[in-house]
Amino acid sequence: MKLARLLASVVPVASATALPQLPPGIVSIDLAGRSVQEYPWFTYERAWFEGSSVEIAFDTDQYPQLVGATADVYVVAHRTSAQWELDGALVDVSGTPRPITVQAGDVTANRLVIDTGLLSGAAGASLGVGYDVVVDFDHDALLSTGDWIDGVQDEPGLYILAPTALPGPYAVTEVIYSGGALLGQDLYYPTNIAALGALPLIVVSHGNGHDYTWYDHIGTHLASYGVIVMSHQNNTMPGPEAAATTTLTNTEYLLSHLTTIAGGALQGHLDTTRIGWIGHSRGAEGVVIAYDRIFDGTYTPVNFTKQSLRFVSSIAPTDFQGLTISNPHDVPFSLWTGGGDDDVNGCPSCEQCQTFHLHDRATKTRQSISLHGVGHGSFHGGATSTFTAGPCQISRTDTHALMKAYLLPLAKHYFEGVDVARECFYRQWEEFRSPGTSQSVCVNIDLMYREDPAVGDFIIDDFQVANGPGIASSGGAMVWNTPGLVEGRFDDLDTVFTASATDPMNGITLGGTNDTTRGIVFEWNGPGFFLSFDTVPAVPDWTPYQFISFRAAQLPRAAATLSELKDLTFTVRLADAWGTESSIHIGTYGGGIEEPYMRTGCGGGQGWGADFETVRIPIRDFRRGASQLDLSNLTRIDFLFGEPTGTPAGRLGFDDLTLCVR
Amino acid sequence: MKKIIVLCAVTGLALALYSTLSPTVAVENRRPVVVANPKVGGVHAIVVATPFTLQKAWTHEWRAEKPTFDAGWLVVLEVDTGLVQPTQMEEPVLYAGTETVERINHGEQSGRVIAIVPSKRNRDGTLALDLASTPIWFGARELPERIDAVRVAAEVAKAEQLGVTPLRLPNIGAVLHLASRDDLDPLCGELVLQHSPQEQDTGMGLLAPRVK
Repeated sequence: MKLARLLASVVPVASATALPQLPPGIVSIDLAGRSVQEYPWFTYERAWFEGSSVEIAFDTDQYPQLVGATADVYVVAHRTSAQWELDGALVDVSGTPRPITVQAGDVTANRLVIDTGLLSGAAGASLGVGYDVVVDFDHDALLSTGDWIDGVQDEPGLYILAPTALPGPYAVTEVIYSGGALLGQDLYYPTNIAALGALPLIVVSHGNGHDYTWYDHIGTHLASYGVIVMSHQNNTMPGPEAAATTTLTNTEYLLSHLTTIAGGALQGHLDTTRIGWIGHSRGAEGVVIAYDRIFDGTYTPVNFTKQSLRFVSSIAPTDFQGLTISNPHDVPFSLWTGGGDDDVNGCPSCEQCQTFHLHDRATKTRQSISLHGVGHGSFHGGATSTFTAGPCQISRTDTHALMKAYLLPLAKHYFEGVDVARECFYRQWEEFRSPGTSQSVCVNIDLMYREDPAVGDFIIDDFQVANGPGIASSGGAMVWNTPGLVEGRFDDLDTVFTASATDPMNGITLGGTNDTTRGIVFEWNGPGFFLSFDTVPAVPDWTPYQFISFRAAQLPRAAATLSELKDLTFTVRLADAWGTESSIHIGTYGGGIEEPYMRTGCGGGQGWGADFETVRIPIRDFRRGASQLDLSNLTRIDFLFGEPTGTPAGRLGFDDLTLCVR
Repeated sequence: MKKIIVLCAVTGLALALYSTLSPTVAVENRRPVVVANPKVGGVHAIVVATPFTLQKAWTHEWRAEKPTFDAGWLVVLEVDTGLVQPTQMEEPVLYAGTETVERINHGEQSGRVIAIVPSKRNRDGTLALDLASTPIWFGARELPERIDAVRVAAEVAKAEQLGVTPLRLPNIGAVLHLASRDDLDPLCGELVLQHSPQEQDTGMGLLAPRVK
């Protein structure tokens, strides 16, 4: 029987759609991914760093007609649908396709390594090389009727990323100059800028006691990928308001002196519509204040616009000015926090020392990188103290490599719209890390990521509506049997991290005194505990969504946390209207909810502030294997705690349960 | 330290101006010129004091009212290093009489702080601030940009209670008549390199070549 006819009888799933642009019977479907240790046994992915193995898998429980079929599997350079229409010839990048015979059994019997780490991610100054995977069932070396393809339109089946921590292709020129008082600038740009068109600009605003010449690691790295970087003298000693002024005056100065700075090298090559601001400590609050002035209309830029600012990034920011002034508002915002920071240290005794306030005030896309063991001064390159406290400290060199690894995706995403860069914003360090970064066990990274609500995500519960913990913000019921569940503002109530029964939000510093960010905390110590959210009738169909997303943190110094000091895991279960359930243990993807950084001080006990991290689970993974879960008619999402579904005991902060469209 | 050396930074003007300062800022002259009330206020001595005027006024960002000034004193102070450790948190604010002082460097290792003391001018154009009769001290920790006249008055009262008194001046150079605050930077850079060489990046940064 022709395979095309077999496929025509396949029950459609969300990720399999016929392509009108291509000959009938060609199936677009996810194929590339990686094996995981437990159910769903295989998860489809978009991106790998160079050197990683790439697999494909056939889920014969979902497609039993495939059993016995033979095929040749090609990995080819990505083509658009139009290109495939013009040329359907299959040319494997390795020179030889891989034969496969689909076996009886489930997905575990039909996994095939299609690359052992040899695929190139060399994208020049861009990020990610796209490939398509084609399963040529009729062995004709053409993409034709009956074949399967992972990768169509503008979206390749998979991307290979070159190490983001390593330098890009361009030589870099550095020039130091001054335009006058408080206008000292250290400029980095590609030496061959004359041949590169108009490039985006990143402005770096240093912190107090720092110097504008201490950010070579940012300047040289990003300039080697085609970004102009200017680090400037920053008036931090009076305070972050004065720093904000110098961020503005230095940005304006550069943009208004392009004909003279660096001999006019930037003239015609700086895109004033693509600007990012990166600040450090007081300067990190300063860049946010500068944006706030533009947002509020108290400052009107002369040589750029509000829309020019594609992102603002704050490294270990202070928060002297609070909600109304130190507020990123609608600009895409990125935060960096060092767990070993001995200056902006995060202790609740110091309101202005809590970095996360700024993050949670951002109303649109926002992301956060927390690095255990990194000190305040490790983020710059000056030969001064790193201002680090706590165990397992990360060196300045290793910190800079980590910064580079995450700064490049930041720039490429917000300046060039490289969508695959978003993978670096939320995939856990344990399973997705750039080569060229430290392999030390001390390196622990917690990533938070939330999309701009305008993309169409559906919030099941972000706890922002104070209607009590029994009703989710989406209107559905929330039930639980976890002891001590409290919903409230995410702000440690007292001045220490010492565990306290009267301070349920102990360790959480996402909000300051006037902030409204909210969530829940709870704990368990034994089997059989759960937290459950009903799906509201308006949104039973989850097929338009790609991920379930939430953020969570282990809460420091709690007995339940200390009893199991490691990555905390639990199980997520979906239930449909027909009583079918499907469960995934979050640990199967690698990592989990990281244990607190085991620093002392700020009261009694051990363990620093709560580092929230985002977990995103592909919804389609709940349909793997024999699962008959009806993703178009879901009624409930459960979180199951304790053995055998996860860590025996724990205490968690939990928030932002969301269905994500991408 | 930067790979790119900017020794060429000093403009002819700056060199000329600096030559007027050099007698009072000799590197070997690290001993305090005068020590008055060394245990009070955290400022032990005025090592260098040079009056200046500016043709173009400059905004004093170091206090809440953000006044402008077109004259002042460029000073080098010997200070208690415990009061000038860099931090992102509030630091002790440096006062001179009823004005906050702009610090150019931290001086946490050298104990030398290069600073600008704003002054009003008399009708004849001379500096109104008599540094010889003006106490200089470190007040409470705060962001200088938050300090207003009310806070200054409170700090002055506290200083008086503590017994902070004016410090004796070293030899004073001729008044520098400068076009703008921009012209102070090279002078400050040289002073940083001489008096607080541990802060070489700060000093060199102030000496960066001017864009033509």
